[in-house]
Amino acid sequence: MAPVGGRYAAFPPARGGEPRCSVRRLRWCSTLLVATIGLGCVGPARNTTNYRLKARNSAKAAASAVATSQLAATLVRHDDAPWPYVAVVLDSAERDASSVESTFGSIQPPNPRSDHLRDALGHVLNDAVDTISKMRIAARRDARRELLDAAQNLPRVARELRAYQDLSA
Amino acid sequence: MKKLLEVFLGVLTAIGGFVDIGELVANSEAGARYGLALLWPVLLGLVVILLYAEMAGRIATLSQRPVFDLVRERMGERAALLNMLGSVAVNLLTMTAEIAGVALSIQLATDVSYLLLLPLIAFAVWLVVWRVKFSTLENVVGIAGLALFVFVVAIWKMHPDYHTLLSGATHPTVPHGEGHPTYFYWAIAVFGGTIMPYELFFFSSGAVEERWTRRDLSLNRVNVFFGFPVGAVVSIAIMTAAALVLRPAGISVGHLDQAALPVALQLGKVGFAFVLVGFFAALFGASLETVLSNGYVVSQYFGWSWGKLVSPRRAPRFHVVLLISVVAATALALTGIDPVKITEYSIVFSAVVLPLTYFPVLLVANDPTYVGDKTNSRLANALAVAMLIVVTVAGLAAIPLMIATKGGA
Repeated sequence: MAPVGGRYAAFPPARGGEPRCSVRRLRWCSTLLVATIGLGCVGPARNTTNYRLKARNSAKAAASAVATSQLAATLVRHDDAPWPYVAVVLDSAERDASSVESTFGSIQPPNPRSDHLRDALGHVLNDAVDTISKMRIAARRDARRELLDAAQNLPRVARELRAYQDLSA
Repeated sequence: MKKLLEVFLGVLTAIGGFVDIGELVANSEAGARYGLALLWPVLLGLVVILLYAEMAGRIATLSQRPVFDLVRERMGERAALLNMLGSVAVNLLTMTAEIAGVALSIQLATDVSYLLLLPLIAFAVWLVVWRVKFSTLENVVGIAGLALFVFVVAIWKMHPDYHTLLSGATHPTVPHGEGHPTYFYWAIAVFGGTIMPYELFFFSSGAVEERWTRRDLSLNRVNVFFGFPVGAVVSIAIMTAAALVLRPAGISVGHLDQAALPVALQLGKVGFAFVLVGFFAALFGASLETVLSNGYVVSQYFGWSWGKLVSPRRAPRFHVVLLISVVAATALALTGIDPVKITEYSIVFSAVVLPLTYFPVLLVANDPTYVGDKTNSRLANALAVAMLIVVTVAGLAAIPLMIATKGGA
């Protein structure tokens, strides 16, 4: 075991030379933790390819929320589920879509060429969130017609999102 | 009738173990994402739990010693301490998710925020653990959990192409655009969810609580070989329903409410009512199992008197552990942390402590001191060793895969 000292000297030694080992382990764990957290966070896209990949994944995630809302609309159309359940489904879908929108919006585009993609996809994502929000509000008011009216927008939003899911890297 | 009801320890363990909130969401997500290409981890998990639950039940029946008692004796205090801490941590995470899951299942019917319901649910869990008889608990929750068979009915009503389904299950492929590491992460999540350590602790301690004797060995086998496959059928049905309804729509499952969509779409309000009852029972059952498991594990490690049937006056520390567990899990859930994410992580972390739980069971099941002439057969040993290797590999791969795939994203 290496002697304890130098920059490790500030740590009170306990049981022989273990502090150095503990510090190393602590550092290793901290690095691992930071890396893990870092992996889950959204940072700037390194280049256009990376940005387009993130755009594609965002479109895919938002499309899932839109598809969930479409199924909720089907439930309402056929009177197949109670209102509270429809409201919960739409609330979750809205939160998902909203999270995708804010996450994508917070990614720094790598160059001016990517700004157009940011604006265009951002607009579609905003449309998705807005539509699902209207449906959720209608569901909480037991307003069948309003909900189904809002849901008419979903196929268009889904189509637009699909175009971004096919985006080449 | 009495004999029939006695098999519900296995059904309760399996419904609570196979169909907890992690499984409900993970199996739905696996089905929505990979079709039936992740059916094999469920079947593999079923083989593992059948083998080891039978052993644990047999050991408990013959020696009147539950699993954790033996873990300490065979693995030594240090390894047992590590196992105990790991198991308690995993149990606590799972319990948090399950209690939140019960609240979420009520939210589906009421649209009242699950956070507001949490204290009530926690109180109900504690009250049931404290006051309700073990047999009542397992019969009510076990029978109500069978409502989840509504998923099987929904699939039958969909008239799916069974040949295509079977082909997808027998020839698993990773879909285009999905990476192999993510596929294997989900495989471990599905596999780990079926063999959570608390299932063994609960089942073996339950056998001791119910005072099974040598005459109950056949009851042990019936419980295991009927109860756990019942859980597996429900688990597979949830995955299949998602594969048939959510996958074609391109839906990724991240919430409990989405798991109910296939049934509601197919069977309407009646089907949805069954789903709600099933979700509630399964999640409430899992909450009870995890709470009791924590009490069992801690008490058995320290050698305290324990048991749901033992009055709080005679087993005060056991009951205090139960109370602290419920309070801690509820406090964690009240922070608003996503219960689905917690349970996914707890499944992955549990894979790490699994070998430490399963290995001593295998050792003791071969020791005549504990089980007399009822030691494992050669075939059972060969299978159990092979499965232990699988469990160990899954345990070793779990955390690196979780990091590499950003939690299966």
